[in-house]
Amino acid sequence: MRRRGNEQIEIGSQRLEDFYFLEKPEPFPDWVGKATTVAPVEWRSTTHLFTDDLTRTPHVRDALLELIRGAREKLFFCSFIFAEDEIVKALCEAAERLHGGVYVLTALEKEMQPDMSDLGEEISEYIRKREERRKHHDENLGLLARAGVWLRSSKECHAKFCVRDDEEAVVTSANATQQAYFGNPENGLRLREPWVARELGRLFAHVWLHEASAESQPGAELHVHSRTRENTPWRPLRRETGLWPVCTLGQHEHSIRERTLALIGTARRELVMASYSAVGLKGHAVGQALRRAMVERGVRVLLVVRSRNLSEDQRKTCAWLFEGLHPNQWCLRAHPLTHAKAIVADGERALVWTGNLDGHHGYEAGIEVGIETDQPPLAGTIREYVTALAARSSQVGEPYPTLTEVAATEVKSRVTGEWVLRLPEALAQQVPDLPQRLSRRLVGHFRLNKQWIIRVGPDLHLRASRDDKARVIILESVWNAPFLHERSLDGFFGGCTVEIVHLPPEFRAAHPQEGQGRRRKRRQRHR
Amino acid sequence: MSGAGKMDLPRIARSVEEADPSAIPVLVHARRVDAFEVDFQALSFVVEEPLPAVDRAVLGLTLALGRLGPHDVRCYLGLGHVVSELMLLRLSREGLLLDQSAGDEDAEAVEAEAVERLPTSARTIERLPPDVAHTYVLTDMGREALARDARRMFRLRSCRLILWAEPLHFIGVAREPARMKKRSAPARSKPLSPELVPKSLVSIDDLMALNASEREQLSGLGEKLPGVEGRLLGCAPDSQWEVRVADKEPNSLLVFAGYPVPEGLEWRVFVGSPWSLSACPRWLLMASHAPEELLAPEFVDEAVDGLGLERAWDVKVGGQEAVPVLAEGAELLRMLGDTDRPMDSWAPLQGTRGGGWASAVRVRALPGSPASAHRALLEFVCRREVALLHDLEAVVGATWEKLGRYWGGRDFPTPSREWLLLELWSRQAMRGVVCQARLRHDLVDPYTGTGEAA
Repeated sequence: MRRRGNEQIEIGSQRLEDFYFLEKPEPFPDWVGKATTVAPVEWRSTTHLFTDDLTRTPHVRDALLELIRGAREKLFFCSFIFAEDEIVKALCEAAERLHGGVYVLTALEKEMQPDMSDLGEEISEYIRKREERRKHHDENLGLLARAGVWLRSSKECHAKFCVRDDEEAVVTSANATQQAYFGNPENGLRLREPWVARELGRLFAHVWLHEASAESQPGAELHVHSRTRENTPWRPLRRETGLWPVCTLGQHEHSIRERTLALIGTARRELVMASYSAVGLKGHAVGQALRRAMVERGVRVLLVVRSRNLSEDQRKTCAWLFEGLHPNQWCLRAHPLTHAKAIVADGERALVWTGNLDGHHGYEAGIEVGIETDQPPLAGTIREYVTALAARSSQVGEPYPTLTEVAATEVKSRVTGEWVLRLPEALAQQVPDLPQRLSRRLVGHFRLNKQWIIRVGPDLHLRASRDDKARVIILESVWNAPFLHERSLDGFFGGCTVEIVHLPPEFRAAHPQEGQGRRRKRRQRHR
Repeated sequence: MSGAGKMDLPRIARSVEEADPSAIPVLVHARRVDAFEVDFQALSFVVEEPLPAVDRAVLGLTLALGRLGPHDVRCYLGLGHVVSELMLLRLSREGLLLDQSAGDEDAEAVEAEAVERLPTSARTIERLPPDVAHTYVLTDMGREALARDARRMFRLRSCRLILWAEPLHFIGVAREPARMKKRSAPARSKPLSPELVPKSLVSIDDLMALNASEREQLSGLGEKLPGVEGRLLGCAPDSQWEVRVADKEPNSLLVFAGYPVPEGLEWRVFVGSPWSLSACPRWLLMASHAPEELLAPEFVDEAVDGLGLERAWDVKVGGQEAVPVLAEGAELLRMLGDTDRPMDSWAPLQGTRGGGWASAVRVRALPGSPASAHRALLEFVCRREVALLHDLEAVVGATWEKLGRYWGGRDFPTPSREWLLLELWSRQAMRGVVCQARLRHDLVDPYTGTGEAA
């Protein structure tokens, strides 16, 4: 209901900077080809595995279980998290059967925080799920320790792989969780080449022996204690034709980066890629190589990532990557749960690895592992998988969309329709161009310590409260804190009409001014 | 005489070893003895005190002048007439000076007649003629007090002593709870009527009349009483004492410990509580009238038979300080103790012997079979988890050798490494050890050949 004399503004029609993922049906460019139904395909001694999230068939988990149950002498298993009971049970049984010989690299205690990237839930669910998963993980670690599994932890280790008896191995993007094995699109390779398995075993042994910073020895209970890391020489992984392992091993080896650059650098026609994220590439050699390939050599790119409109880094990276290119040259798709990782060049050479297109982690630092192949049949299979994944990804990368379009994609973010915005006089004087800013810039929101915060543009943060029934937003004050810019948004304002009601000068915000509350409390204590 | 009751004989035996670490007993007999509280109305003590300055001055003046009178004290020390006279009188009463006018019958006085007045260059404060009629000389006690700068004082104190009656033995001094008001002090039982008082305590004044060394030999009651100042002289003449039963006396344990010697067993006596014993003279052995069969060397064999243990006759253990016996399984492990090395154990004999004596024999448990020996090895190896994680082979080797030595060189086949690892794995807490043992094989050796320094 409009009141006389009040200003009314439209929010939502403003165009945003960067790339966003929008729900919209859009056919593939011709060069991608038609997506077909894929199934795990065995080529010679190697199988490309994936989790079929449509039929919820855990091919990756089944392959891992086969490996674990088939261990005759020893077993190496590396997963950041253990929240999948079948895998844990199988590992316990293997340890009992082999009387030891099961070595695990995982996150012990506090080191579990960094990687929860395969959660696939909304942010509000994130904390609760994380705690549940952490508890489950800790319980499983206790089971493993009691069964005789020797656990160690390296903070930098993000690799996920399993090696049996130095004869067979699985390298996968999937952590040992139900979500990863049944819900997320994940992929990997099962390798029956003993020399490859042996090289991966050597990598595991090196990390386990020399890079681990905490451990829990097998025993009556989980008992984690820290240990000193040793700087031990490392001989780079062997490389042969056909199929070979690559890794990032701290300062020792960066063959994942080298081979990624080689793949991108030698691509003539196309690059088909899947990754959980694409971040931090602007100043990174991999990003530069991708950009060069597209701009200088006209290489076409299909990229499937997880849809994360709230990640500014990913938005900016994608905007930079595809800026100024013909729309037919690139195809950017987003899947809400994908965690698969692969790069296929010209359908002939491929890399499947455990890292991401991430300029911050996994290329120069950290511990990741991958398998590269120059065998077209295998590379073709992997390409088919990524293409099929892209076909199932309903969100399309779109440069400079309107706020309304973005808000329509994000489930939780919509503040749409007609709203009344109560603006205190003091705030109106402090930010005289607030109505213009609201109608021209990105308007999003997040919660911080139960306080609802509205972000307008990149740098204006307003304390506010919201009455959904009355459809009223009451602005309270400007909040200038350096850490606010780093907070991710919970959602965006959608297309809405906002009537600005100026509050009289005597209006006082319910929320105390910054710092006053603390001072008042202190005084009360003294009394 | 009280019964043995429930006695912790292994604990008592350990206390014997602590009290006399010079040797290891093979047999212990212990019994509780009835203790009595004897309240003496007045015991006489001699106490040494520092010599007061004025006494030292007067005695010193006497030594310098040979003999002196009240005028000398007044002239040389400047004390008043009355004080000087009283001072000399007091010192004479305390036996430090001898009044020459006391009478000729005193032998010391006769001797003192010969003491001449000595010349001195000391100046006097005032001039008075020397005393002639009333002079004093130093006694031997006075000379000693001057030399040691201390004097002996006699004190009478009431004391409550704890004594055994049979054998008569001094246990200690009973103390009143500190600062306890009379109304809150625990009520005491009535004194025993004369007919109930043990014979040895009826005539305790005879014991008190003896000199300290004789008294100590007979009863352990020497010159010094714990916590009481001064040296005990004896009972004050005509003083009384009363006797009560000491109900809760912890130090009422009499222990005989038999030590192996070539001729058989040498017996030593200990008295105290199960947690703290002290060695006592051997006369208590005779005075306690212990049955002869308890003290005979053959008792050891009878004891082992009584325990139902099979003696390992073929094994000689060093010094024969323990009787080698055969045991199996859990019993063997129990007898080897719960420390990190095998220990002899004390096997208590069932029931008590004549006079309420309870006995225990020191046994060395030997495995009756290789399986038991291997079980014992496993048990001792598991007690060294940290060392095992470091070097399994070394710990197992050292433990097996230690057990072999302990068992007098008894030869058992060494258990296999596989058996040991399997057994360790079966104990959840030891799984880390098994994993550590295979670590090199799994994670290092397979990859060192390829050039990496693992």
